[in-house]
Amino acid sequence: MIEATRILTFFSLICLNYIFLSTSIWVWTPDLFIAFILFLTTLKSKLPSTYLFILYGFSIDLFFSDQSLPYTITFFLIGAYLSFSNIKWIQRSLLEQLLMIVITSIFLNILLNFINDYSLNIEARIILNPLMNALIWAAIFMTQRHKWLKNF
Amino acid sequence: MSRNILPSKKKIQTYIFGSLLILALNLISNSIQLNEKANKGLINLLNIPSNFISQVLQDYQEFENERIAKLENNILDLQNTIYEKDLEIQSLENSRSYNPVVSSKKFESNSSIISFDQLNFNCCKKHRVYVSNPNNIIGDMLSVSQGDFVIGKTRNISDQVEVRLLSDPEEYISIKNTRNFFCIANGNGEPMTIICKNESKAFDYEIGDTFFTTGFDGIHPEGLIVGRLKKITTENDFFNETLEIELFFNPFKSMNKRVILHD
Repeated sequence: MIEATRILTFFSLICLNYIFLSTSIWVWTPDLFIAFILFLTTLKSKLPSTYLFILYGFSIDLFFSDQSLPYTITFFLIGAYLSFSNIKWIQRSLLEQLLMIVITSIFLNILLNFINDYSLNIEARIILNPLMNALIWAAIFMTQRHKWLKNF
Repeated sequence: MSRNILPSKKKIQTYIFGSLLILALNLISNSIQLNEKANKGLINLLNIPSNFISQVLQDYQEFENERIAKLENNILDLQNTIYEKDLEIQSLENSRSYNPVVSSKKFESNSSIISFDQLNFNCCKKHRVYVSNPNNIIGDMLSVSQGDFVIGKTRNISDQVEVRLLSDPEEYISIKNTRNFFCIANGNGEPMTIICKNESKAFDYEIGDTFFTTGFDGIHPEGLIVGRLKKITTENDFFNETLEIELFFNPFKSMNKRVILHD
């Protein structure tokens, strides 16, 4: 993915997330930015640096959070985890991946709820969103796995 | 398969610098209220296309509504035409052997049935329909028909006309068939039915005969179609018979259909 496409995609996701938020379906949808990061890990052979993850998180927080913390901290942790681990993300077992996604999503949603005062049913999102994100990853895993195996 | 392992020093360094970066970014954004400004900017940016889209959708919806209204009007007109043609066909079918000249002054206005007392029609003995009076027709008691089919007589005429149906027990009408059997029929409270008693011991009728108005009552003009003989019941004395005549006029199918007021 070239840089311009990635930025454009990122901005489109910001717009889409805004639409989801304003129409209240945000509660039921997977987290677009987590999905974006997951795609990034599968499409790029070399991961961006941890600091770039922080900047991604900060950009999201600017638009959707009262304080620049929830996405910034979560993305920093994701970046650090991906950079510091001994094996690639796609080489981990599906169960481990799903577990990580669920934990990260719960952490992110708790932070979002703690920092922002949403009029939406955020409690439902804390439960639903991790499952939706895991589902998205399971779909990516099922459809893309054969390509990763070819590359190894 | 495995990746290059980062030294612990580098990891700690990344954690420290990362945390400092987060702290710095948060402080900067808080001090200049960057989050609020970015949020407002995004709202403004997305409001322009959303306003445009909602305007386009609204215009399209209005256009579609107009089109639907036009089509509904066309359908209604066609339904009315079909209904009137059906009446003409039925009228011709029933008048094959009898073709009187209906001679009365007709108020062929745009009067139409505007409401119908369905509750009383089904359960009770008060059978009424209400007809519009756009031409402000005045009069006491007029015969009302739909095409050549009798509906009943007017009662109160004001901005709308109350019409008592033939099936109302208080309504009487002089009728005959093509074999010159005459009788005075009245409603019995049963929907779309009138009865007449044959006391003349004449038997010039059979099931399926069509009955017409005689014009003797001075209200209904001669030759309007009333109904068809449905059932003949013999009384206990074996001489008198009760004729049950099914009326052609069906109020359920006649809403908003045109009617004729005969003077």
